[in-house]
Amino acid sequence: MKKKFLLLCFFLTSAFIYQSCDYVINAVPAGTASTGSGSTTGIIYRKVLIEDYTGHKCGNCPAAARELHKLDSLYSGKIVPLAIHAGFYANVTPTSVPAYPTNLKCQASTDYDTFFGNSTAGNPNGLVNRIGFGGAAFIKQWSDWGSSAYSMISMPADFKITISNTYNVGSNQVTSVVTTKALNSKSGTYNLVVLMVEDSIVAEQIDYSLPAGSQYVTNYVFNHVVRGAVNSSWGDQIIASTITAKDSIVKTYANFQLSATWKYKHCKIVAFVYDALSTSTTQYEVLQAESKDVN
Amino acid sequence: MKKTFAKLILSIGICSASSFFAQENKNTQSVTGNFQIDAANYSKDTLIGADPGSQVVRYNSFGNVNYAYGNFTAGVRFESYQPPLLGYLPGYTGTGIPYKYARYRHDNIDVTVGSFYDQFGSGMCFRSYEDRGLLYDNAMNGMRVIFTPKDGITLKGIIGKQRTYFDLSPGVVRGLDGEINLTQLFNNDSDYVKNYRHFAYKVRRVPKKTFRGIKRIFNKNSLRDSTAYPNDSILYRPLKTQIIIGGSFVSKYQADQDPTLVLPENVGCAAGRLNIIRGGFNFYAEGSYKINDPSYQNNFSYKDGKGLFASVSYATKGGLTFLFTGKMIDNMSFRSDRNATNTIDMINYSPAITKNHTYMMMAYVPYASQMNGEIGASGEIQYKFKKGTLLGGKYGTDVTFNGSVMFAPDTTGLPYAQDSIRHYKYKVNYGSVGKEFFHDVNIEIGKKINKHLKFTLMFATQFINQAQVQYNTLDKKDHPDVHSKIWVADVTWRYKTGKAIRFEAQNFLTKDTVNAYGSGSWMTGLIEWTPSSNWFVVLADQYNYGNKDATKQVHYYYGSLIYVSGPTRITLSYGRQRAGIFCAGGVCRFVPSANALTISISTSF
Amino acid sequence: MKKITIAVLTLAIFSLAFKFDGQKIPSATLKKLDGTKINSSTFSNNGKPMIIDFWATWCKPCKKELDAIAETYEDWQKETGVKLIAISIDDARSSSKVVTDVKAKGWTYEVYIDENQDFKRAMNVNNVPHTFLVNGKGEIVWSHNSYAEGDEAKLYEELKKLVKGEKLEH
Repeated sequence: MKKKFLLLCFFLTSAFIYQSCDYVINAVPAGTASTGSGSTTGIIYRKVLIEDYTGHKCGNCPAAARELHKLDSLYSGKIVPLAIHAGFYANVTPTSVPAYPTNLKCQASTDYDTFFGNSTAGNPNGLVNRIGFGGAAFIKQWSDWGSSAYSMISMPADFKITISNTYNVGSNQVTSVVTTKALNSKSGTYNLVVLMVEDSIVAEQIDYSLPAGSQYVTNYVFNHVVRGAVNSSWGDQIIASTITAKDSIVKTYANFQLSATWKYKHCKIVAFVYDALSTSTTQYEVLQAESKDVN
Repeated sequence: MKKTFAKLILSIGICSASSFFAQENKNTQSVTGNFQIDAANYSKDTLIGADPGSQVVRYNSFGNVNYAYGNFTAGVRFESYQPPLLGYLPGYTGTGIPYKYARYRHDNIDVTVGSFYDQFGSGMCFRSYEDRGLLYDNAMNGMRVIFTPKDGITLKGIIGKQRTYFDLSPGVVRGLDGEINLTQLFNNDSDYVKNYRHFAYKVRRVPKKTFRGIKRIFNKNSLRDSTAYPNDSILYRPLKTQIIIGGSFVSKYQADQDPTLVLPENVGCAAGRLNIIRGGFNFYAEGSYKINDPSYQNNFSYKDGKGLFASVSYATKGGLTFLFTGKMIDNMSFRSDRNATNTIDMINYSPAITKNHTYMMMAYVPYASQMNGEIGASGEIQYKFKKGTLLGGKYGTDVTFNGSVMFAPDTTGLPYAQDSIRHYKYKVNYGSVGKEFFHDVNIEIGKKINKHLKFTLMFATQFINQAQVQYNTLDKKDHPDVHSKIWVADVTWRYKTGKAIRFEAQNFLTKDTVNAYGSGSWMTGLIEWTPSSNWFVVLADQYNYGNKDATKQVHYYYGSLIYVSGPTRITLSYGRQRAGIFCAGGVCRFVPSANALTISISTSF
Repeated sequence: MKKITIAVLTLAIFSLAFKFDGQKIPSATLKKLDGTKINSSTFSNNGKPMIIDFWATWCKPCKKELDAIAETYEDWQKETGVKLIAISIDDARSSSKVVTDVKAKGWTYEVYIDENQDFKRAMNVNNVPHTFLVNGKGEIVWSHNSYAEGDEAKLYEELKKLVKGEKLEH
């Protein structure tokens, strides 16, 4: 009897050990990577806002930027990437050795970083649709962005955002008309944030993944850099308590002045709608995002 | 917060009330606990670059309440950080009861439901641990069963999720551990023959010759019943060899949703250990193996992990002791969330074998275990010159000589941290070592001159490869290697019974830039006055006189008033805290400078 | 600030309201220096008092306290029959140092390692050194946190009072 019991214990332990080890032969998925089921015609899916909190003095940050680029090409048109330059690592130090004279910070970036605490938690890190505010999994490492986004890109959206931009070359101003259409009836408070984002900025960056001695890169290309808020960091309230399905809210932001240092051809408008109800368990969660080139 | 406290008070009230009514019961009930609060009011100090932001009042607080009734114990810990003091992980901001458990122990079974801390061996595959002072807490939340079928055999089974700030980890941890004290098992009862036969029966297929050898090991030791001396420590016991073997297996599960990589959802780690103790001799060795475990920390390498730890110590009766440890780990970071950083969700532990210094300047450039890989060794020799000898004087002299050196593993293949080769498998050449990480050679002399005066002198020479150890980069331009020499003098003058003054002078000498924030040499002075056994007054100053930037040659003054009564301790302090590297649980991180008025209270009941 | 005030007040109330009244030594498994295990609830000294002292190899004041007691420990034993049990809270990083430290210091105390800190938690120890006095019946009657020069003399006073059956004070 005792012997049988011991045998059973041994068998169970071995089974447990065997079951508990997944050996991976090929790290890269066979065939094309799964990009979710968001392809059924007639259904509008969520576009996922991925924010990369970064800085030019942060040597581990280029790894996160590369991951964001990879996800952007993998989930082409299904995610909206943003680079938030804020905190200590994004400070402008033109006289330091090596020098970081280019300012990639802006008020909106600093507001988000201060409120969400990303740079105090250590760059690089990011937010995916700003889900899980107040929880341990809110701030995410770049290695977690893909997994988090994957679970959301196949979710049908509650809102559809349409952006239409008119750029005036002479005044270097843009007028954006942002239309938010409710696809389902919703109750709650929702805000719309409209941001100015610039791609392909060439500036200085430290990159620890490069060999020693060549880690200071002067012609690093920065993408999705948030340049400022078109309305405000926390946006305009577009829905106070309820909205009926198919209703639309149209917001016009006229004559937003671009800075002379920004290249309008590389600029785009990013708009997103988030849950702004302070009693909501999903407060700050982004429900839909969209981006559109300035010109 | 008020509400939660009210609840706590109420629950304690109920518990203590019930204890009055249960007086008749032969099982005694008890309610015990402790509390601690550290609160600080930060101010801006541009000279040292301290900027607390808008939240100037911060605090860390916790309270434990434990209830015991016979074999049953239960307890909770209330914690609140709104937000935590500067330097602690901001993710801990919150209030709640993250720790709660119920435990029942009877004869050979011990069951815990809820939160628990435990470790298998030295922790190479599993250790859940807390250090409240460092705010390091990766308690398991689930279930644990400890089964002791016989004296000398311990079996453990654990399952649960780890604490992650005020949440739980995304991954599940499960594990088994067995430990057998061979000596106790075969030599515990006075009826030695019975055990011997039992042992013989079990391994009857082993040739007789081998058998006699095993028999001799256990036979040599006394046959006397050890239960007759239940409280004897080894110091009183005749020489006796103890052989303890153990093995453990731990596995984690975390779902794979990554679109770009195939990640293992179940990752196993196994370890085996051997401990031989005989009188003053102690040998401990543990080896571990982990299967492919791509994670943020190892840069998603699919390589397996290996670890080996061994220590030998020997103490002679004459007060001479030796301790040697050796260690090799490669890719042994094991966390219940593959994306976790800092001290969050660590399942295992690898102790740093370098000396754990207590003097500030000695620990100015601390070393922490490099879970991605390190090879090193350390040794310590202690000797007490006896009373009445030339060097011993009237009270004896303590001398400790300690040395340690750590290296990177010798890896061939591709450089670390390149995204394009994120899932590469590098190779380790175990025959040699890579770049040096750290070394520390130090000597400490402790001496009591007479009834009034005693002192400690210490000297050390240290080296640290800051770039690789603390910043995970090979570029030494921003973070150069630091060579330093440190001396410490600590003198205590007991001018009356129960009244004393202690002086500390410390000097950290270097020409190198230490970290990004301060450079060059430091001087530290400290005076601690004990006017009575209830009061302490401490005044200290750390001066960065060697900073190449003259505007940064700053004094970090600090004053503290401490009141102690029984288990209660109240500390009021004010001053500047220097920025530094703060190491906990094998992870180092940068802590900003601060200027603060701090109060801390701790008590137990 | 208000929250802190509440917390401080609560603490003060608790420290006043609760006193040690015959609390037994809680149960926890400790490691002996010879590798075997012992349960703390079996601590006894044949009806004589015991001192339980929590320490660690990296804790300077702890070692000072144990050194100071060691100088007069023989006299204490003769006078009161006391036994000192030193509980090391060293973790795996330094637990191998416990044996060598004890031997190098020449301490003759009973030394056990609380590697998992179960006993430390059960005894509600926040910081080391923390010293407890246990009477002949195995009840915890007095405790003190931290060490100041001369504290060992005070501990001895309390110990003598305990033996005589007088009231103890902090």
